[in-house]
Amino acid sequence: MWRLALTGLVAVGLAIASSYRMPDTSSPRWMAQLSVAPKAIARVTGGFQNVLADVLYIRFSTYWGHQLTNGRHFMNLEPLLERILELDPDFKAAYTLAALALGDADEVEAAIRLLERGMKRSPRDPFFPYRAGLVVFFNTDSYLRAARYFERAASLPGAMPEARFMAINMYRRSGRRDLAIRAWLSMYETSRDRSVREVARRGLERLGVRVPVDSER
Amino acid sequence: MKPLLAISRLTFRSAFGERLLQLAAVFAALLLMLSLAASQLAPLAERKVLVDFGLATLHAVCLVIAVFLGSQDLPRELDRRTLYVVLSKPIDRVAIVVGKFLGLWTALLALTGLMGLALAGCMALMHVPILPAHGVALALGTLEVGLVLAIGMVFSLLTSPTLATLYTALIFLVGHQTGVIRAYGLDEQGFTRLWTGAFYRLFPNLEVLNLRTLAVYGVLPPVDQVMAAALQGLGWTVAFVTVASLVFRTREL
Repeated sequence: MWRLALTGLVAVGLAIASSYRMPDTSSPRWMAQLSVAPKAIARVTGGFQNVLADVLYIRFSTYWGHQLTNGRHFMNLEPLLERILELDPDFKAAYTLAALALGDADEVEAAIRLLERGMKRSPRDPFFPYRAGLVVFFNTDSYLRAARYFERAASLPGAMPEARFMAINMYRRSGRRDLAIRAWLSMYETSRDRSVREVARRGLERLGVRVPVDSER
Repeated sequence: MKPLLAISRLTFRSAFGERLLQLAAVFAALLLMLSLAASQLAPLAERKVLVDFGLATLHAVCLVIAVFLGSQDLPRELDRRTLYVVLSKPIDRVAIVVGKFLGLWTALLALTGLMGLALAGCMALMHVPILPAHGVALALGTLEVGLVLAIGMVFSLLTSPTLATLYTALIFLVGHQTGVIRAYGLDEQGFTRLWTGAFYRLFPNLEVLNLRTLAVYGVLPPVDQVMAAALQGLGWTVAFVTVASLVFRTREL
């Protein structure tokens, strides 16, 4: 009986250890191996799909890191990231890495697709639109599109304070002075923080719009 | 009640003295160290990977032990004839099965506690906050381990130890899919809806006891949901232990 039990333990150990083995990330065979992780595997993980997502994430970051410094031959980035996010749809680090890796590989639309999926899953989370705004801003000239994402992020509860500034900045870069004024005004009118209101007032002043200083109100 | 407690105490002692459990503890310690190493390979997700791997390691080790102990402990004692000493006493066979179950489960709880402390140590080392969600996930995990143990005991009394191990592992895998099958059936009509509904009721839904996915993100489900899952797990465990007791009672030895 113990032999059987030990064989079982060793088998589990080997299975886990094999997933830790540092792969030869330059080999195309390794990439093929990585892309063959069917959904069926997730079905038989018996509640351990998060761990499988982590293993794929580690493999992905190793592969991406290797390719960044060795020829930049990126292959199948989107399907691989999709697989990780199918296994763990709340894996924010994977979304961040997806935005970085896909943006860097000139696959901006793919990055946006994944982030849009996150937005659909968590519509009240400013993380996803903010990341989408950054991807568009860093990798394209569509400032207006980036601004819309930043503004969407800024409108959500718990938004990062810089989201509104980014939105305003993007509107100005895109030549949409009216939208920049609208965003500054929104910040000026909604913020309870005096220093934030002062920043918004100065921003409006630079765009030729005068609003009263707090002490004058 | 007294014989039941005596049997469970003896079972606990012998289980904890087993090489299997000691090896499992060493194995789990190694895996926890490996979790620490793995977390360093995951940029932006070091903490998440540590908690994920740590909780999964702990649970997987306990599950493997539960499958083997559940499906092999009673047959082994019958084989070695050590159980006949107890059977010769005026003790109800139900007390023997329940005592055995409680002893083994307590041993697994102790193992979970020890490994949980080790994981907490690793988390503290990495400055990962220890949240109530982690504790709740572990607690529901121990219920799943108990349920698997009880399933193993039922099969161990019905078939050979090897087949019992296999069947228990299969029920575990199926138990994690009943929700998916149920969801599929709800979209269908007629016979498909009927058989998927029957299937869902026939097998325990082990996925309700899996809170590790949420715990990693520090999310604690509503108390009533946790209580419902715990009651469901306990209910199935009691049912399987009862079946095992009845089978053992009617069995000719």
